[in-house]
Amino acid sequence: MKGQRSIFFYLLRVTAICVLASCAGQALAKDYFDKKEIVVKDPFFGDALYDYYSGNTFDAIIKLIVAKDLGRVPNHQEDVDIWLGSLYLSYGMHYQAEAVFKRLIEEGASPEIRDRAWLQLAKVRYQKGLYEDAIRAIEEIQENIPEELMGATQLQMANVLMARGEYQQAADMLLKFPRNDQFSQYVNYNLGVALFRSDRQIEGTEYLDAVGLASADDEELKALRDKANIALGYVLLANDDFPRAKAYFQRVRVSGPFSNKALLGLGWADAFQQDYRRALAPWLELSTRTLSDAAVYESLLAVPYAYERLQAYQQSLQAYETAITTFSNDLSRLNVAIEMVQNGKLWEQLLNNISTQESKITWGLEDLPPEIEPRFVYTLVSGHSFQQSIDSLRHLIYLNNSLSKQADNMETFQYILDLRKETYEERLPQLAPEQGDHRMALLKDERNLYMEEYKRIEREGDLKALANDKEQNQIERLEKIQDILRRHRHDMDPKLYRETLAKYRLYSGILEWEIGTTIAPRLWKIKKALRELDNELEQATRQQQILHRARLSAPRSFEGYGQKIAGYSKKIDSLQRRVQETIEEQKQLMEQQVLSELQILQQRIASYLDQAKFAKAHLLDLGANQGGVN
Amino acid sequence: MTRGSKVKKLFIAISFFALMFGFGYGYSADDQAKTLDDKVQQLKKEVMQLNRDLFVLEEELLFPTSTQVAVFLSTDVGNFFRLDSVELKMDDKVVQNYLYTQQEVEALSRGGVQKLWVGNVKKGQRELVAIFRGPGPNGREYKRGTSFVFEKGSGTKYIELKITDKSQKLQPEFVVREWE
Repeated sequence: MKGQRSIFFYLLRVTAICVLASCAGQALAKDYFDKKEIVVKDPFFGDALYDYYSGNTFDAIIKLIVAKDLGRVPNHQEDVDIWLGSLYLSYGMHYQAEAVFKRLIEEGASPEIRDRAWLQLAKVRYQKGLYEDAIRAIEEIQENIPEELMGATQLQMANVLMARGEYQQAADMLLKFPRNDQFSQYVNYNLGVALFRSDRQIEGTEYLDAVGLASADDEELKALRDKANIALGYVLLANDDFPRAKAYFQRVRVSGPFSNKALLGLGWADAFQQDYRRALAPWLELSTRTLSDAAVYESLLAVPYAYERLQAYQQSLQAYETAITTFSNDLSRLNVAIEMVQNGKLWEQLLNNISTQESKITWGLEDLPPEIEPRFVYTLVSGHSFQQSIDSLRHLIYLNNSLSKQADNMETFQYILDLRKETYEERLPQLAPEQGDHRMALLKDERNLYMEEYKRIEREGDLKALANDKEQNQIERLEKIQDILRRHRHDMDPKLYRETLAKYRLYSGILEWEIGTTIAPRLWKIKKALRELDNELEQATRQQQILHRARLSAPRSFEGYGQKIAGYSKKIDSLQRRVQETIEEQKQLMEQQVLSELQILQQRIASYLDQAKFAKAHLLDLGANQGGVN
Repeated sequence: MTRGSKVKKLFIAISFFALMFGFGYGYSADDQAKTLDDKVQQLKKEVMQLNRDLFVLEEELLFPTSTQVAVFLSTDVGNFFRLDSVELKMDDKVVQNYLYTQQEVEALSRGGVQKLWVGNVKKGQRELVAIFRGPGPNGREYKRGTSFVFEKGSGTKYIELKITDKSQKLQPEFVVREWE
């Protein structure tokens, strides 16, 4: 069972590669866009790119929106829009992408950006099936554009034309496309198909033949080569050119994803030439393979048909019985699988795999319940439409996770807000601005007194007031001496009195001289101190004003944030409900698709079973009539 | 018409179509899918708008401009060093330890700039130390630290740590710069 599953995962991968190959034009355009060299000039732009390259497109989009809204990407204004549009596109948001590109164009972007935007817009419209609008967008692109952009534009145009069924024009456009890079095989393949569809089979064969013979280094190109050979083989079968058809089928790799189709075709090429013995070889090989696609189922009918034509009735009967058993078993398995889907078991594994990281949410055939064999649904699951549905489901689950995280954040924000409010209310009495105002008024009065005193000293030349502490001390001592001399003038010895008076006058003179010659720097020092005091007072006044404002605004701010948080919480609740409902709708749609796939397969196998039973009955009749088979 | 030619005609009609254009069984729920797709797109738009608002609210509440410091990390070619982890210290206190996945290393080498840490820092002179680990030249384990002293003022401070290849010395170089 495990081995069987791994074959299907391989088939899925290769089928997906082929889907990509048929969309080569789109891949090329995106490739050119992604390869455009980015020189990050604003860190917030680089931050968004980091998320995108890490597989988190959702976060990258939000970061670009925030960076743009808050003016944090002044050096990437145009880049932001073109990236935003492209990211919206890759996140399945066609409407948003279109709005961004239209705005970019209307705002008169530079010619290169404008042309790239038109090309992106053409892609959006093409994906939405608006082919006329897509062509109009392409027609807006200037003729004189860089070669790589021209190439991407032509391929896009060819895709649109092919989608509109205008194969002739698509072929003409692809014929002009230069084949000088790794995508030339995809261009040749698309061109071959376009030529076939415009009834230019000979030319179409040439291009498909070239693809079918091209050397291929990787699995993608090998698969494309097989696909071209298969297509040509069946065209030639339809044209009754069996030998050439065989040659094409023989080019297909025996173990490749197209080998079943090749073996079936190879058998039919021989059978149509009545060489049933030769036809049996590929069909017998095919009939032993895993029942992965219609080719293997059909081989179970083709083998007994060949035996019958070779008149090996016994072997034919056995092969029909084997087919009947196989078809019956598969019908039983399909019944179980259908029941599983109807009981909503399809998503159990997916829901278990949910991760909070966008890039880690995956779902594939390996996540199917064991009762639903991957071979029954791999064609559907690997198809573009179903893959898009899986993307939508993944994105919805991511949105739901993101909303749950935001709901938790709201609780945290509210807690922080409450804590701040509590701290504010506790500290408010200590910070009473009125007390501060009173202290400020006293300080200002004091400052004014100092200023007045400074002016008086300057005006009166009051040397004493300019003395420093040491000098003040000396002045006081000299004044005491002067006082003693005055009081004891008549008591003192006249000689001692004269000597002391002389000394007093000398020291007073020296002191006055020292102070008097340094008035200017002393006054400047006081003035500087007063200026510093003014600055401090000014800063204190500002702080006081901030405190006043904070006291007025804090409650409003707490209330404002509180209201915002409450509003956002409501919005989160409502969005979560809608997202969850949409997840259910998306799951139901995909369940319906899987169910429908299983039911159609059920009908098809039931039809094979009827054919096998009818053929067996026919053989038994033949035996009864001829007496040979029983 | 013989049984053989009937088989052939039926076979070709079914197989040619299936083989050219795939073996899909053709379930179509296009209208329903389109309506649902419109709904999904609308939801994505609204959730993104909400996340945008909450992103701004978070910054206002948790990292006000006056105290916010954001540290970004970028790399260039990476021939001489492959980043495994980085440790970030602000004023000797570890504020971030980050281990890189292969995808994140590739995102950096393609031009992405990682917002490594955002936090609150008081005004004044601050020291940022970053210690980078990973295989260096010749694949040997490499550990290098770089420090950066900056003045935190009243505005938001953005600092970028950049790992570049210094071809002349065949060594990686760790550069720190401030964004205006």
